[in-house]
Amino acid sequence: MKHELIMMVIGIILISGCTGLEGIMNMFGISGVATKQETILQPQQGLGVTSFTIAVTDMLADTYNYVLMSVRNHAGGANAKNIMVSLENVKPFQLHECDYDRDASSIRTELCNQFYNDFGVPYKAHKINEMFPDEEVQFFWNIKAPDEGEIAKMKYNHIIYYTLSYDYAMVTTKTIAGISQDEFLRQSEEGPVTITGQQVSSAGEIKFTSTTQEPFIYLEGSGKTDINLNFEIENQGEGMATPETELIIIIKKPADTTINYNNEKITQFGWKNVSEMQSEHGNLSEIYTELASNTGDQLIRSISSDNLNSGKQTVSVPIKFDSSTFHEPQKILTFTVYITYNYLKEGQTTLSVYPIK
Amino acid sequence: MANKDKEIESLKEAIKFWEVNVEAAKLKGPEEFKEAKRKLLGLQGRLNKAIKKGEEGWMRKGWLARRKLKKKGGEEWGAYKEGKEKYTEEKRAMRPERGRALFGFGGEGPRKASDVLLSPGFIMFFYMAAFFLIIIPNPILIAGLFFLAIALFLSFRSGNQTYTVMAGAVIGAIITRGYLSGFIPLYGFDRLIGLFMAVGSASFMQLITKYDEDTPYEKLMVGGFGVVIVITTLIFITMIETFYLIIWLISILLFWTALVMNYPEKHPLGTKVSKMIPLICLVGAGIFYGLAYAFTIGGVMFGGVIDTIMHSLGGTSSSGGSIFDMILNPKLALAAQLKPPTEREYAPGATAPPNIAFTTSFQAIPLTGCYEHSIYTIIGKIKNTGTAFIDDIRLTIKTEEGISNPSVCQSGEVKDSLKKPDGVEGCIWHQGIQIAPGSTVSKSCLAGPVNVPTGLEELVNWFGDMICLPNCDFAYQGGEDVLPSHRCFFDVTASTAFHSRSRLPIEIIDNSYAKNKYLQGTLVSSIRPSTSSVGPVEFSLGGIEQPVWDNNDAVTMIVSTVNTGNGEVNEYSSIYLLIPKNLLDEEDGKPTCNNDDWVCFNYEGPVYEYSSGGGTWKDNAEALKQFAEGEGVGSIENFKLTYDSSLDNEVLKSDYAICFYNKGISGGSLMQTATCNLKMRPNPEGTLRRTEIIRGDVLYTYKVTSDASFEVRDCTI
Repeated sequence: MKHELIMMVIGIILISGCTGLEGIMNMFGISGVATKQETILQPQQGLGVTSFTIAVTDMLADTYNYVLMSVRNHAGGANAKNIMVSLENVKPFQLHECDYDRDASSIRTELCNQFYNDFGVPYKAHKINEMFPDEEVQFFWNIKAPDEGEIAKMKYNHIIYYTLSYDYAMVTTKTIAGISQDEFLRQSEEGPVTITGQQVSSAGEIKFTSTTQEPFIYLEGSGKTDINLNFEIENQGEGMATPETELIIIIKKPADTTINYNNEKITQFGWKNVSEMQSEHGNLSEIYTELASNTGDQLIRSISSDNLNSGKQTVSVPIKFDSSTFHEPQKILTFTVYITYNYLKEGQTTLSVYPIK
Repeated sequence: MANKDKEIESLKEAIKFWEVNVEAAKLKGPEEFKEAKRKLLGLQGRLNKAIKKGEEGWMRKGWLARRKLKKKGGEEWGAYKEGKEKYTEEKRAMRPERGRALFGFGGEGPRKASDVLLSPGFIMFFYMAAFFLIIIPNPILIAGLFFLAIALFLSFRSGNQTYTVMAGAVIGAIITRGYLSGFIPLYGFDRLIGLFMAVGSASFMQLITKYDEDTPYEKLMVGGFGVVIVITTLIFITMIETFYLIIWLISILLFWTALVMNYPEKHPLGTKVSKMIPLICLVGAGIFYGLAYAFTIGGVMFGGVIDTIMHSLGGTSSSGGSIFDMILNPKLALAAQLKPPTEREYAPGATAPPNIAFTTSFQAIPLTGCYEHSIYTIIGKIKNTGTAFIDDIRLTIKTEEGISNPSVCQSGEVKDSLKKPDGVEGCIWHQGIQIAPGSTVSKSCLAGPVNVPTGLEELVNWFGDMICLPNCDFAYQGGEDVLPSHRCFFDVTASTAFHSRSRLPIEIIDNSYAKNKYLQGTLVSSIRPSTSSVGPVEFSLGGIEQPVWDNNDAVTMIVSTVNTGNGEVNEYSSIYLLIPKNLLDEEDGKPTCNNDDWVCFNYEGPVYEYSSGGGTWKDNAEALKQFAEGEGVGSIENFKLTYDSSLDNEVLKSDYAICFYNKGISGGSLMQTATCNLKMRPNPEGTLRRTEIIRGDVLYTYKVTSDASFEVRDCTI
């Protein structure tokens, strides 16, 4: 009995020691084994900022420091274009580049050992033309702290923001399920009819969701049925659609003679032909080369970024389903939706300047 | 030697006797057995001591002596080896019984489980475990309580009162464990120092107390505690939280003492070690405490220098611990020691005391004297109640204005040899006084009859200052119209010049961007509070609306100065603002203020051209020069020297407007406010946010006055 008791006490001691190990290690300044996990981009991110840091957060007046920013494109996303990273609220700091202190908003007129496509952009910004999925790029700036006088000889805490803007595209494939009236009635006798299509989207900040009532019902061999495809579009990212820009939505119907756009209503619903939009927004085929060959299957429209930033937007596509020569109990229609947008993300970090020379 | 032999023999006999008694006591009961055991162990201890002091005193020889003996060899070395072996064997022979007494193991005779569970060593083990688990970090506190519960249970079962003291010690440790961590800024060191102190103090007590089996434990303990408490009190009396430190110390001490006193004949760590431990531990702990003292109290005394560094070290950063920043940037640490930058600022609304603050007081010895022959020692005192070092303060004592002081109390004439500077009033005056935070400076002088008695000079020198003596012939020499008594009233005034600075960053956000953030519900106000340097006058800038840039957008700025100190503003020298051009109207380059109290000058482009023969003034710079001359400053160079040496870079080269408060400023006006309309110039293309910093400075002399008096009587009545 006594041996068991002694063993029990020894066990308790050992367990207590283990549970308190971290505290003991902390007491003597020994940190535990740390595992560093790589930052993973979420599906609702196209481009993500994996880190935004300042090399030394406590600076002396009139000294230099580094700001570092890493950007990664989602592996499941599209090619990002016109990527621009920029520091905001830089003043009263300056940027040091090519051996001179520069005003952050001044336009860069010379390049010094850098691979960014920065000529002609402000010193506060860096730009690259394209990032492929899963590509990661690190940007950096050399900043100079204000002098003592400018911060009134008191310790100064400053917030530096970054912005990341880029053009991005998201592709959504949505299948819409249809069922003949006879088949619907037959299945209804067995219970509720729950036939719905599938939706697959690539990574990106803009969420495009079908709210179309499914399945749509048609009469076999009996003329045309009007169907409204309804979609909700919303910003699911942490940033915003860049102010004063427009999102372009292109919908491509299946190459199927039974399906046609309702030409009487498409204008009323805000849709245009691709050629019309091209004349307004420039050459769209740069991004959608695959669409340019068959523009007859596509409709296009735009949404203001201000509207999208204020909340969900609803778009509808009027179509006609011609079942006069169609004699099948079910029909699956596959639509492809392309959304291109310019997105803006913001983040911040704080640093302090001590009024010491 | 013969006496020692007798004593040894006698003790051996006694031990044999008590060994029999112990066996007999086992049959009588546990209490009797323990008492007999204690007696036996005491005798064995005494026997060991007697042997050491007697014929086998050679055992006490040091390592060097033994080495010499070994080298020498021969009979003496043989005797040594033989004696040592014999001694070792005797000690070994005693082990089982000692082990049994301590832990219930070993020895002869039947054993029960309770012999182990209720043995002193076993109970001590639980107390020790509880104690160490409790004093180290939080996660183990619960385990410590568990062990404490077991220890308490076994203590009650054993019926030994000594354990009550230990239980109290451990519970005391639980109660006080938080205090040391609040006192010592370095995490973990409080516990480490606590252990040092515990071991050192207990060992020290062990040395100074002698075991006597006829003396009750309690007396020994109380005696030992008394000595230790006195010593520790002397050591820590000047430190803050002395009370808690002593509680902590006593708690540990009680525990340790109880442990060692139960078996006093053998210190667990050996005789030599027990002598060294107090020295090492107490001195070591003293050094640690001294460092801690320097980091806290010392930091305040010397302008918060070390505290500033600690503050910097404690900051957080996104790139890791900022201690690494300091290591990477040693210049920062070095400079921080020389010039603490952070303590001169505070967040508005904070309750921290101003760093520049002082009080005055007066003392006269005697408070009542006689007309004819009394000599008064007048002492004016200034106490620095702030946290910064004041390096130039002036003290004056003069008869109080507005009080009908009789003629006997009026100051005398200033003698030619001791002319006071212009503008200094009063009979006692000192300039350039330096005071460390928390300390008091006294300046004394003598006042008395005009005819200074012979030998007074020496007395004056003893007081260390005679500068005021010729100026302060307060006492009347007597006369026919002398009143029975008079009371003389004085003002004791201390004053110093000071800057209060203020800084207001205005973070402007692009209108379209702000609108979209607002639509998203993510717009956060970018209004930032102003930061003021700490001083008796709070100079603040504020009142900015959400600064969103748009065409023709403007914000309102309110400037105020408020006296938050315990004295009054003696004189304002100047109040001025530096406003960046991006906050000014593009056409006239000036802010629009609500009244004419503010005079603004704009510097666009190079305004002052320096050359070997001097400078050339242009446009607004000329106006500023004239204004500066009108203010009595003389020239812009003097202005820079007087107000802000950075103006050269800031104003003349960086396109700022400088605005002076042009209203007559007097010391009596404790609050000045102004409202200025600032027009924001457009953001550069593509800029979403930018910050413009407005700075301001108010220069003033600040004084603190207290009343004082003494009485003069006609002692002939």
